[in-house]
Amino acid sequence: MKAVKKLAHIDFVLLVCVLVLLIIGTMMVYTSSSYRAEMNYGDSEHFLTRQLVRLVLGIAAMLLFALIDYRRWLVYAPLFYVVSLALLVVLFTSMPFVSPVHGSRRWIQLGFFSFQPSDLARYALILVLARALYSERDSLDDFWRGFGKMLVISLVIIAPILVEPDLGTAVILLMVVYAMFFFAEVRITYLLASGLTLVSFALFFIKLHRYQSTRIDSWIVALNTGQAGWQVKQSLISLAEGGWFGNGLGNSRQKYMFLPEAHKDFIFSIVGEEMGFIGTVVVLFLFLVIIYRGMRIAIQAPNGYGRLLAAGLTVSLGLYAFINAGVAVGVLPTTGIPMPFVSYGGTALVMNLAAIGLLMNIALQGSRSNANAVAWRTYRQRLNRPIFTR
Amino acid sequence: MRQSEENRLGWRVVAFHSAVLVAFILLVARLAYIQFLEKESLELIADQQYKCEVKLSPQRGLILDRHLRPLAMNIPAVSIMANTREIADKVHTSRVLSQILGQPASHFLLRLQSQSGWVALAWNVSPEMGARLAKTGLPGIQLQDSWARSYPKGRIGSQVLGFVSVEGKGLGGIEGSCDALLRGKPGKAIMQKLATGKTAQLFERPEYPKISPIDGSDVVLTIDCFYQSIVERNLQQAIAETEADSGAVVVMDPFSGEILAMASAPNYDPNRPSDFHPSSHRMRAISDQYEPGSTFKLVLVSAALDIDLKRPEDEVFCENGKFEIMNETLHDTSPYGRLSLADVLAKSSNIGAAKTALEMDKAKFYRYARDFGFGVRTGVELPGEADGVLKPVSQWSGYTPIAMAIGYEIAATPLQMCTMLCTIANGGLLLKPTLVRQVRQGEQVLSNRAPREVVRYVIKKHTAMTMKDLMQRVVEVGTGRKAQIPGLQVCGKTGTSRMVRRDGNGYSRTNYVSSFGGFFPKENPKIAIFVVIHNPRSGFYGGDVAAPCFRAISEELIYHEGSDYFDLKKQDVVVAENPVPVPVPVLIGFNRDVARNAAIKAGLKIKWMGSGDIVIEQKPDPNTLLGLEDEVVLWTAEADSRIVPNVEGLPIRNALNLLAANGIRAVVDGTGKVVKQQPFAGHEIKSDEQVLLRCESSIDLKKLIIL
Repeated sequence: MKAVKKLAHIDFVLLVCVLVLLIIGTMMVYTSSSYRAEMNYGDSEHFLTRQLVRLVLGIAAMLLFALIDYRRWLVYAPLFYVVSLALLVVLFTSMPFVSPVHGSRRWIQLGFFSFQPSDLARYALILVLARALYSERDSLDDFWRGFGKMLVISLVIIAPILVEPDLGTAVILLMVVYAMFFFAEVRITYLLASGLTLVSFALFFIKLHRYQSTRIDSWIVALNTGQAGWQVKQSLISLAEGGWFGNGLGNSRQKYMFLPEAHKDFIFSIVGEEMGFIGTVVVLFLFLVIIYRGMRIAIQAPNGYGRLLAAGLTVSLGLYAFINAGVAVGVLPTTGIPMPFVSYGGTALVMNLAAIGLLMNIALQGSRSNANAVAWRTYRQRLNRPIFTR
Repeated sequence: MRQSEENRLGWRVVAFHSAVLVAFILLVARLAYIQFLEKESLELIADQQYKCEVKLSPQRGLILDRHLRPLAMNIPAVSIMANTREIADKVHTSRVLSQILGQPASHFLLRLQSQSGWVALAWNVSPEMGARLAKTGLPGIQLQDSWARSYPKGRIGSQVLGFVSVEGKGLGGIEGSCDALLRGKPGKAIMQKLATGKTAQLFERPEYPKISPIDGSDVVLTIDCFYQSIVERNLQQAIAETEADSGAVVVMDPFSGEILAMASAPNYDPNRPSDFHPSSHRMRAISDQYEPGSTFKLVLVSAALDIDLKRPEDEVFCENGKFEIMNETLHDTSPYGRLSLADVLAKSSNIGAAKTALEMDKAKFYRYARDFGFGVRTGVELPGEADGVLKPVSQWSGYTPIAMAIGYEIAATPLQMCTMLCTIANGGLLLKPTLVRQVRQGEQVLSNRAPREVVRYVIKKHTAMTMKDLMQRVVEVGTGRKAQIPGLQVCGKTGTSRMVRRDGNGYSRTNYVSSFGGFFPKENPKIAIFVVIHNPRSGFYGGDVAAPCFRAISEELIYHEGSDYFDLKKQDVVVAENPVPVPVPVLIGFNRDVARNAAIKAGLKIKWMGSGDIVIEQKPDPNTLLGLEDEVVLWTAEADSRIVPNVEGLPIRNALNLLAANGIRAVVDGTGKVVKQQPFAGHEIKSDEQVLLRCESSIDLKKLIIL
């Protein structure tokens, strides 16, 4: 009963946006993967059924997270951090369930399902940073003992992801970290100094890895000459085919193996082909609303932990969506990251929905209706007491 | 220090939101740019990669006999291709291929190793083999559905029909000469490509243009395939009996010029032409000219009668068998004294003919030979026809008239000879011999042949009548006695000519060409037959070698058509010595033993035709009254019960072809594709039963077409 009452106060705008994205995503996963599934598995609904299972799990996770006090997760944040770090390290061992795909070690395969530890690491890092940045807020102005410590916590977990190699995820995670620093009111000078250092390191790393370097080179070439690489060219063709209203659901021609990863990284292009300009703008707009709601939740969060946590989650989701779209429209280099809620992908979908659940819980805790039940001010003050002893 | 808790994020949130908004606007602008401004140029690139022009092959037209029985048709087949790049274990692959397709593994291995990319491994193998191969799931092997040309009658009519190359081009015979008609017009379609590149797969899409192929027209021949099989069987038999090298037979309708049967031995199976020596592909009846020998005396005598040089009863002194003229010596087979012109022909006296020729004006002799069609192609619808040889008078030596009188220094094809026979038989009209009766497209007749095509008037009707009398004498009392058929007035002429020696010096003393040409019945001839046997080794006279073959063919034709057809005096053929007539029992459909017992019980004799176990045809028909100990002719075939093939899902035309290939007739209900068949596939039915095909026209555009 209590749970139902609580759910009645859920952030409905956020929920509706996510649900609409899920519906569009599921349709798109089906239409874009059916041919590939038929060819590779002899079952056109192969990917659809798997996606639906994950969808159910994800929504359950979302509701669960919406009901559980988010602070409980903050308590366990260091544990998540250690576990995900351990899993990332496992990727570099020669265990039977770890095998490189296209030369990169991103997946742990457990037969019935496989997942990317980086998905877990992302949220672990956000949790840990939200907790650390707020509880150590007073020492953040100290570059080495405050800010430096935070940077080290982040880089320790980003480094193995970078070495997998998964440059796209590493860069996004770094951007999320910097956004959280930004919202935690770290000095802008610190951010610029450390940021520039990291960028120069990144360029050095890119030069070391030919794979990344060719991708970025082709992107630069494409930007300069308009000669896009194969994937991007196919993606642009998809979008162009769509026009205003698209070719109609199921009528994509690019999905017949022209567009690689049509149901994953380039699903946005299929949205463009089948649902047109309107479809793509609607998807982007839904993400815009999600970002706006997320930031609102952050502002209204009952305490600093919630604030930073909500901001981190929002930035993470928004960055994934916008960078994915940026790749699809050919303005960003191919990074191989999916679009949240829309792309096919097991763990990512469950994790992203859990993140929405977390946001909803922060919203519930910070909402007036909740506050009215417990005396608003005292409740606030109670919440602002540091919950972790240093 | 930190800002107050109440105003915590302030400008930072504003900055963040601004950045997000800018990103959003940039993305939307970029989308608009791609989806509207760049749309056309990108769609152009898209079309190039999506669309693929595919040639749609038409189905080759059928070749039918005069009663529309299929002689050449199309059956579903499978061609096997391989992409060598996808085959890792070539040795294993070729071993499996060898097991299924029956060719040595080395054959496939060689092809798989010869080049990289797509190679053809086998053309037009049976769909069953294809299915077995598909079941093995070998990588890199692709099956392509195709149509294989099939000749259901096997060797029968092989040289008339010709065959089709792997690429579908008609080679030789009607397939070659009517290739343009049979081939049809290929269509084309723009199809949706798939990007995999692994296997060439294409989608048909309704919005793309498609020009359907126009199937080839069906060609209806004048050939009667029953006649053809009778002729071929007897020709083979005659060649075997006389140990000859080769032979040819032409059967024509004298009043229309239609070729009812045309055979050449040795023959081949057009279903697998490469297994036979190329010489067997030749239609000797039109391609092999030879010196006709005594049969050419018909031309001489016709000319002599037509210009009133001689009357049949005018006598010639035949020098008692030996006549020296112009340093050459002419011999007759037996010495004759004075012979009438009729007897010169009947006994085929060379000396009598030579003397007649010497009396005749050279130009006139030449004109008649020319008018009878010698030295010029007949223009029959087959490739590779020989002209024959007829020297113009200016090139004649003094001896030429003598040589020509007995059929030397002139060369003709058996078809030319048969056309000459027809000219006499029909009262003096040279008709153009023809093989194509009709061209049709499905049920619609596109063009019909004129009833007959007269080339010219050659001899007076009266002359022709006289000639028939003389030719009847040849068969009744002359050299052609072995061609006699009881109760029938047969006209004919024998011919025996020495072959030119291999070294080219004069004529061989051991190698002959024996021929017999004739027609019947004398009044209103229905059929003209010309038989040539090359180099027989047991016997060589035309009257001994070719005439019995003529007789055997004629007898079977008469049995087949019934005696009424030839105005036969019935009592002459089926002499009712026993006053009690016996009704013929129904024997069709029974196996040999049962039929034999039934016939013996009824007091009838059986003449067997064919080699199978089941009776498919009987003459006379059941319940005809016969005399005791009379003969019933039974044709047999291998098996009567047929297994119905699966035709569901096939277009009507293909379904009918497939059924016809199995000797099954069908009733069609509706148009389009067969959706239901009754009885079902695998069911056993009798030859007189029919299969009901229910058809519906449905265009299934979404269906994946694997080319």
